[in-house]
Amino acid sequence: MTSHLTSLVKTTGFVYLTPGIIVMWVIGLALIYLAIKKDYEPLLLLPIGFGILLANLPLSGLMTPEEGLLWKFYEYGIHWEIIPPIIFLGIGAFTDFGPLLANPRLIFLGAGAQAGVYITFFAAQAMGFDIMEAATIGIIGGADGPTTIFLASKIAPQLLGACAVAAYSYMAMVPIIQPPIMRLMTTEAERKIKMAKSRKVTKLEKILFPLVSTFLIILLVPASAPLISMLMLGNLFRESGVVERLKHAAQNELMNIVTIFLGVPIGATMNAEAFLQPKVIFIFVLGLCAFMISTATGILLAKLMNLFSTKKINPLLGAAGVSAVPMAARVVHKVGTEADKKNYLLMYAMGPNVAGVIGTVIAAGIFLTLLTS
Amino acid sequence: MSASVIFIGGISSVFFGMGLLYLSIKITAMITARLTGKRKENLS
Repeated sequence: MTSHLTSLVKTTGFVYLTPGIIVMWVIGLALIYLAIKKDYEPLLLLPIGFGILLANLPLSGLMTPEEGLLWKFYEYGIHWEIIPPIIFLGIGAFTDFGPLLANPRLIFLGAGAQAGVYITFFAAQAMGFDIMEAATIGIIGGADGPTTIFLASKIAPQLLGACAVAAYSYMAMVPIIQPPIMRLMTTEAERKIKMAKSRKVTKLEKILFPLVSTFLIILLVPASAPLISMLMLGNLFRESGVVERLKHAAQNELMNIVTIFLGVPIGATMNAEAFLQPKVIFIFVLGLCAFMISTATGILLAKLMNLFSTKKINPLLGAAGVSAVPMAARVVHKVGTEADKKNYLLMYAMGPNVAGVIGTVIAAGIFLTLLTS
Repeated sequence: MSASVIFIGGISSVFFGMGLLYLSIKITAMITARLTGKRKENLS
């Protein structure tokens, strides 16, 4: 009777519980709490948190290679690079490139804000991470979740969970992280600079832009093709005005479905053995540094451009060069109106903000090209 | 490939890529001007 009872108990997950597993439950529950209670990127952090719980239930077999349900989601959705490009299709369908077309010089602020990616890459390598891991950690500085996932799944899948959570966490904390850096690096007079009025962008121009940029960018950085092609296709859906159903599907149904199949398997990659390592702490610290440096370098580039330009740029716009759309642009607007209530920067900030998305994709494409060729 | 090469090559390539994007906006404006028969100066 006792032996039967012992055998029965051994078929349950309880006997395989470890302190590490309990810690992962706490982390998973903390993410779910932040999503529900604090509204921190709930669309991603909630499924990621639940995925962490599932991955740390012993004997569930959900991440067993070839068999587990979540393993299949991960393998065919993320490892096969299907989900991140589909998310970019949705982002493209949401994005209005009008502010960028109206103020093309602001594009370079999106490049300036990528400096944090490379500086952190260099720092991570100096701290002992291998070159693939360093690149994945650096890309967190772009503040672009799908691109971080895309790059991590290609070159450092062992860091996928930590890097994705770091990227989405920092994207949610843009209103906390960026304003002190913005205030520190600009004077009140600079924050009051009013931008020159933007020109009107025609519909034809908005239709032509995704076509022209697809050709040029993919010819330059072929490795960025999966993300850029989908981004521009989604944007063409939006601007053409003839495929409203496809535009809405890309913005809503498709985006919502892939968000579920992205978040849960990412959380499921975070089992106790893989996640509870000292290097994960370094990933979060370096990711935060990357994000802060990107904010600062964007602002510095705007100041540099002002030295050579008669039409002054409000340096706060440089902080929008990180990709967190539209949160970073909103933060720029908020800090700008603190200095001058009549200084409306939101539409101008959307330009570098959108450019930052493309800049991060290019940075990831360059990492892929250089590290895997 | 060394980290310093990727560091310098990466930053310059991102700026080059953005330069290309800038170029694509200018080309778009030019094509639009041609198609609509407007003068380029009115678009940029």
